Amino acid sequence: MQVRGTCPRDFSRGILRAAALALLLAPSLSLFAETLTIPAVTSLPVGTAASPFFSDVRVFNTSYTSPASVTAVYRCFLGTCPAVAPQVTFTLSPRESRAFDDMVFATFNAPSSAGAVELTSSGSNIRVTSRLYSTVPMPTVGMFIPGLRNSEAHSVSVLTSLSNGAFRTNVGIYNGEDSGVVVTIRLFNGTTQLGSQAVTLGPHSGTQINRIFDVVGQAGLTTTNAYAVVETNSPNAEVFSYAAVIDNTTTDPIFVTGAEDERAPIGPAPSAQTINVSLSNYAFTPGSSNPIQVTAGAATTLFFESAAGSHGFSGISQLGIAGSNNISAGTDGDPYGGGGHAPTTYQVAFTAPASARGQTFEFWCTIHPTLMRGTLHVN
Amino acid sequence: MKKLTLFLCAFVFLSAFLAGETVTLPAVTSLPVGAAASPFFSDVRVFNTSYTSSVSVTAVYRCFLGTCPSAAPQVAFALAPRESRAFDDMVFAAFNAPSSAGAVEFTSSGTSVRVTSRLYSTAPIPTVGMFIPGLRSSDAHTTAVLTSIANGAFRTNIGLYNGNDVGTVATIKLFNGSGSALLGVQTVPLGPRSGTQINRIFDAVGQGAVSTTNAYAVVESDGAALFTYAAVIDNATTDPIFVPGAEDQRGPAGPVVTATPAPPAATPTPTPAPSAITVTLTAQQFRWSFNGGGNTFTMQVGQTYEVHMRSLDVTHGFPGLPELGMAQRALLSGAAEIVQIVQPTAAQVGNHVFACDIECGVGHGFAGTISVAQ
Repeated sequence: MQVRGTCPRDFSRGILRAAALALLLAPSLSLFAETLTIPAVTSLPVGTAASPFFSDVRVFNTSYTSPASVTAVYRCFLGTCPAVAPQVTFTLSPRESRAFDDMVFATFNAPSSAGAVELTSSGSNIRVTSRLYSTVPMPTVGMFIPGLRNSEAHSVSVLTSLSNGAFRTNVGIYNGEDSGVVVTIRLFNGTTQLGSQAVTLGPHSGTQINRIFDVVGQAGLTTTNAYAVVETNSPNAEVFSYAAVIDNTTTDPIFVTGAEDERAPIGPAPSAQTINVSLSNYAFTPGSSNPIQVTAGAATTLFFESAAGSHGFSGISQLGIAGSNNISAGTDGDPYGGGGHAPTTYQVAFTAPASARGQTFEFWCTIHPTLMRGTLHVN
Repeated sequence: MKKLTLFLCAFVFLSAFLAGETVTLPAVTSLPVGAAASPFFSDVRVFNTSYTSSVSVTAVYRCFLGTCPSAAPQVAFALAPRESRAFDDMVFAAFNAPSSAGAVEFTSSGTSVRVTSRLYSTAPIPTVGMFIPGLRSSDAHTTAVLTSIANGAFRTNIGLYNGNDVGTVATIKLFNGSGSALLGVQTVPLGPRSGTQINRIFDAVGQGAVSTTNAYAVVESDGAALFTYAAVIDNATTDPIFVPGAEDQRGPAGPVVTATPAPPAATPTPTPAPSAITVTLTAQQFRWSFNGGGNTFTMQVGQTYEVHMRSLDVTHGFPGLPELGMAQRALLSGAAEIVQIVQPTAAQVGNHVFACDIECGVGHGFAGTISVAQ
């Protein structure tokens, strides 16, 4: 009864409050400063060790009546960075589009460096676009990079359309906030987590992890349907994220902007579980035919016992599960080293984190790594 | 009354949870290898952000260029929690619509679907392409601005998609430099759930010779929010970038406040000579037709001809016949006639062959002939 009576009253109150707030905010909105961030700019001139790359930036004033004053600050974090963040202030006439070709060098005098640019103006009339391109081996191939609003920074974001093999993928992050943040990048192929990287970013700083598949030890993987989750250590800390997916033949890149993602749910602590895994005939049971099923957040013990032969367990580094090279049946007549010694079992304890929920991890026998493989799925 | 209020309250809250969301890819295509045009394909990825719930997605292909199916093809699929589904060459493999282009609308319950894509070519260099994001309805605007537009070493195509259930008319205004130079205007009608792409927009407004890397375009509709984009393509490598339209302000009523030189006569309608003979030249997939007939027309030396050119379907390109004084023109889908005056001389006797120079589908490159006789 209380709910029935409360809902309409609160609902109408909410509308009134929203209307009042809107009226209050409307005149002041135009007074707010807005910052647009280009999360990746560079100037790597011809003749340096790396391929030449440049950023051509355009800044546009949508107003038909008012000029716009803009301050652009270069937040360098890769290469030869100036000691102090360079900045320029300029005024755009109504409907003016200002060109800043090779902005990092020509405007900020910071050749052989890379970073982000923050463009701050009063009001919300500014639009920013850019092209980051290379002139080698073919002049030119490049990618569009938009000026991003603060609302496009997220505490958890997902980068899809990632590839490796015929392509390579670089993942970049920029922290536009005034305090530092720790960011974890988790790379997936299907539901399998390939690996993760944690990076610490200072305020108004960033990083780019080139060849992310190599970095997480998956250089040999060929895929065109991977994704990465970029997650900060606090729901209140939001960062810009992107992926540059580059065709290895042409070096043509595309710029994938991080889209808002969900934070992995945290449920009630489930009860502890022990799972017995039998090893024989080049198979883990469970594991090879069907995944080992574990529950995120549950204290889990895997108990490995060989029914025939000597085997190993690779462990699963992404979950912090250690492996063993010695899981032996020790039965008479065992042609693989058994007989004459006691059976050797192996057990390992771990707790899968909530962030691993829904993912599948691969493992294998360290003695028969090709023939004897399995998966573990986190629920 | 109280029950009614309660019901409305519940309805509002339920609607917020259950309302479907549509994410739109405004440009997809499948132009196979072997067609006259360069091959282009769209690889699409659809991702479910939920850790706990599957999501049902319906993808509808809204074809508006090339060989379009008679009814909009669609596929429905379910994404498991955290699944990324790959649709390589989606227009062909999922919708069976080769040699066509258009948009794809992905509708799902909730807001957990993310869509990304790469539209790329495999010729002349395998591969160069551009990232095209799935756009939310809030990314459609009644007035949008496209910056970073270039011509000369680059070319620029402008695309529009109307995701509404009613038709609309859009106006594209192309500017150069600091906003003071209006280069030209194009007006295009758009049906419901339909779009168009104007290739080589500088050519289309009669400014093909302009060399710039700092132009911009304003796209205004008559009230409907549209998805807009520019594909800016390096002519040396054919590498494109995809510039999505950003929200712009509607221009004040009355004359444009900036100093605007008169645009060049992109579609001249000169006063014909008294004895001029009117000739119609229409383009449609995939043939030219003079006066509704064949693709060859004979002109007599000394006679004045008023050639009325237009497209009957998609956008085509008349490459120009400089030796006859005829300029290159884009024949836009749904656009008004373009008129050119020709008065052949004795020095021009012979056959003058021309072919469509704007990609228009699998039969692109079809030819016509103007013969000049004594």
